[in-house]
Amino acid sequence: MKDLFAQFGWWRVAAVAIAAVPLVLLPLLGTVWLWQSGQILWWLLAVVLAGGIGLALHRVAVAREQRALPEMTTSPGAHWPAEAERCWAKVERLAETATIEEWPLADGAGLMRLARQVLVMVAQHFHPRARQPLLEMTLPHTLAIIERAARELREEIVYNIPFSHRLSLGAMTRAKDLHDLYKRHEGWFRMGRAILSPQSAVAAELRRAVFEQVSAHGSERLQTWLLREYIKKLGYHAIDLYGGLVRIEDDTPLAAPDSRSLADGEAADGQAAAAAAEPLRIVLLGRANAGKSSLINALFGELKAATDLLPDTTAGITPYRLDRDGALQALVFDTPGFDGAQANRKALERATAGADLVLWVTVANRADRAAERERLDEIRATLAEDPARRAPPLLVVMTHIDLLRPPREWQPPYLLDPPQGIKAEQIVAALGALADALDIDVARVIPVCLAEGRTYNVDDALWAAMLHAQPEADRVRLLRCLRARKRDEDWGLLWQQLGNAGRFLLRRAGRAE
Amino acid sequence: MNAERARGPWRKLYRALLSSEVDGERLGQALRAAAASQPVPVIWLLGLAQSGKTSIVRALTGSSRAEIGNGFRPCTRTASAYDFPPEAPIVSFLDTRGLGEVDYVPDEDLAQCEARAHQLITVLKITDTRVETVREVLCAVRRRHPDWPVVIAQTCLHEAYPEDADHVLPYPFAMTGWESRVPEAVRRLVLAQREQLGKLPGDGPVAWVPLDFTLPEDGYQPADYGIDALWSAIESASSLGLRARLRADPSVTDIYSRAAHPHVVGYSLAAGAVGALPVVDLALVPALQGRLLQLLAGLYRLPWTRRNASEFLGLLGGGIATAYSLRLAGRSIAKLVPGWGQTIGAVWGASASAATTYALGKAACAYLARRREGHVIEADMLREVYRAALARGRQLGRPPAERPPDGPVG
Repeated sequence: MKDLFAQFGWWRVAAVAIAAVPLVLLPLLGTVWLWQSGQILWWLLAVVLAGGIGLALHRVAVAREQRALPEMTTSPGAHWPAEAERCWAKVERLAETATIEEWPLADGAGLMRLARQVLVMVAQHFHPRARQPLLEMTLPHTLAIIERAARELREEIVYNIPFSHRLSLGAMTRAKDLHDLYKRHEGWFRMGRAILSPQSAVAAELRRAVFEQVSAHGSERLQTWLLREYIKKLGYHAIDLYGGLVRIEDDTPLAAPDSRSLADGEAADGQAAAAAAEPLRIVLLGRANAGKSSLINALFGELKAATDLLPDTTAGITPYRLDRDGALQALVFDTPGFDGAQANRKALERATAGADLVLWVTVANRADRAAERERLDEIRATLAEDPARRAPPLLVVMTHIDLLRPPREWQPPYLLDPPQGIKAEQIVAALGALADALDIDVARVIPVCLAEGRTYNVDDALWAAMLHAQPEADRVRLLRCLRARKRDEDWGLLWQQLGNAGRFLLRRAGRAE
Repeated sequence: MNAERARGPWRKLYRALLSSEVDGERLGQALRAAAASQPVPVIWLLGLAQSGKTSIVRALTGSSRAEIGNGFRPCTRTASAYDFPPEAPIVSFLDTRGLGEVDYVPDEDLAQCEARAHQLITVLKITDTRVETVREVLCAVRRRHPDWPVVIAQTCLHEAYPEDADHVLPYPFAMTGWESRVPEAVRRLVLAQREQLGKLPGDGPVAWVPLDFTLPEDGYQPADYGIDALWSAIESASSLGLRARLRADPSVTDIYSRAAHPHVVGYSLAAGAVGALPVVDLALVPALQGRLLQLLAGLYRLPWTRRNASEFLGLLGGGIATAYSLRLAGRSIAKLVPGWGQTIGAVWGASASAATTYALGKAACAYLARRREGHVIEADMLREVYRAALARGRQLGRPPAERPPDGPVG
């Protein structure tokens, strides 16, 4: 009792006590009234019931939040190359081990120290040889990181934690202080209450059980989550910036169309479509007469590209715009056979380098695949040379399965797993041989038939495979967009600087006159 | 009895026929000697993997044992030879199978084939619209041997047929104006391929043969579409007499005797080769003959027993038996004469051994065929068969046909 007086002072305790007298009397009087009117039992019953329902609802809320919080976590960027993902693993490790005992949220200076630690770690990862890794980053960059992390964290809290827009970190801490104070003296309160009003003491005990849990949950779990998200957000943006994956003044969405795709899209349908997002670039490659143009026709379900049984029908790299129920927006590039007379090696290489998904078209009924393998290995090597770029996923389309033995039989569908019938066995064997010869996972080889009137497996299996590869292709696409825009930005900056220099020179010249 | 009397001169042969196995060591010795003294003609099949080379081997030899790839998986690592018939070959097929396959370096194989081949058949699948790989090899070969004739088979015609179309019959490609008789796609592909291959160096003839050799279960009739055209191309390109070696008279329709023919030729050639050797074990030729007759009995599924062996030899009669022993003996005697005797003996030995083996084989075929069908066998008929075969067999025993001019040394 003495430390209570010491903490608040005699006057204040007396003031509170006197002010509280009517309030203390009210439950007493109420109880008396309930007693006299004989309804005390009903009231007690209502208290128990209300407490029980409150407890149950709270349990539900906790369970929901516990499920929701871990889900709401920052994940690595879709456009990141492998290097950035390795760094992200470090950030996640740091976040998992951080506790609020070590980094109390109310300690602003501590949080700044933590931010610095994260930035140094990321900077060291990308510039392992720099003596002062933080200096690799310009001041606006560093500020941008913290600003972004903070902004996103705020958005997340507002979306995910009830009443959080009214909560400040300070308020949370103060609430916690009060809670601790109450904990220290609750013995007194409870004893006093029991003496003054035994019925309300029962009710208070029930309320206490509920309140205890609510507040305990709110503080520990939430704060830990906040702390970890804080680290992850910092890490995310630090990786973005130190890895050179984003620009400073970034207000256009990352997936905005690249100027090149706009031009190709224009070539595809003759109109400058105001595409909201950069389309996926799908490139068809393969030997002459493998069926690339036939595949275009099968994909679009209409005659789009000229096909013939003699080679060199397709003269140049031709884009076609594909919009499939909004599920897949793509530019599909038909190319001349790489061994054909029309093949322009440089142009084909450029098209491949800009691809988000490569469809390698090849014939089922031939075994001479040395030239194909050689070309495919070259492409793989070129794509692997640049670690900052993701290699586009590769699907192999095996055409002409109708010509496999027995040649006169064509009765789709053919069940391949397990193969039923000779034709199905032949298809499976051809799949295996092809996967072997081209050194590719057999699951990435799709058998199709593109012969006129016999189109088979394009609308289902090939589409499914393409949609399955889409997330992987999307990552390639995002990274490609980013690089393209960085390139544009550098040019833009150069032009601006040149312009400025020009103005300066003009002014100098003007003055000299 | 006739048979008992006849057995005298046939003694060695009779014993060879009935012994459960022919003296293996002696037989091996004979065949090796034959192979060493008279190399078989070699047909080199040049084409990409799975372009239909094996089907050509199958169609030319009528053998079903040639492994048919299923159109996609490489069968061997390097060039491989297929001897036909395997024991006493009359022709050997060389196949550079890996051409165009992953991890295959063709140089060594090609050098090997070029050195051994007597006849080159290039195989191009009709749907293969890029012929550079084959063209390079073909040009290299022709630059070194400008007058080698080249037969180019254009295979798998059915892959260009419209849906449900059958072969055009009769075979149109030998006729003038074939262009209007075949499906449009076939016409364009055939002509485009010829144009793409272009002019080869050298001045040897180039024969183009579109064909389609399928499996019976593939459902195309006939399964060996264009085989006659291929034979004529081969015959006009080379002087190997391959057709006579591989195929019985067209009048022979019995499938057993058609299958037996290459074996009879093979053993006759081997016997001829053995007979030409200056010093030779007299028992080698009867050993070869005994093995041949056993093999034929195996083909007809009618094993030699004491009874039918006696009957067969008895039916041939005493005249033939005496001539048989005289031929074998005469060769040995002639060889004993100094000077010219060696040469005369060798020629005589070769032709006599080959002729008697050929005649015995043909007579055995006739005997086994009649026997199988349960007919009564007339001695006159059998003797006539023997005599006729003897005349043809003498041709076989002659020294091997000249190689193509500038042909490689075997």
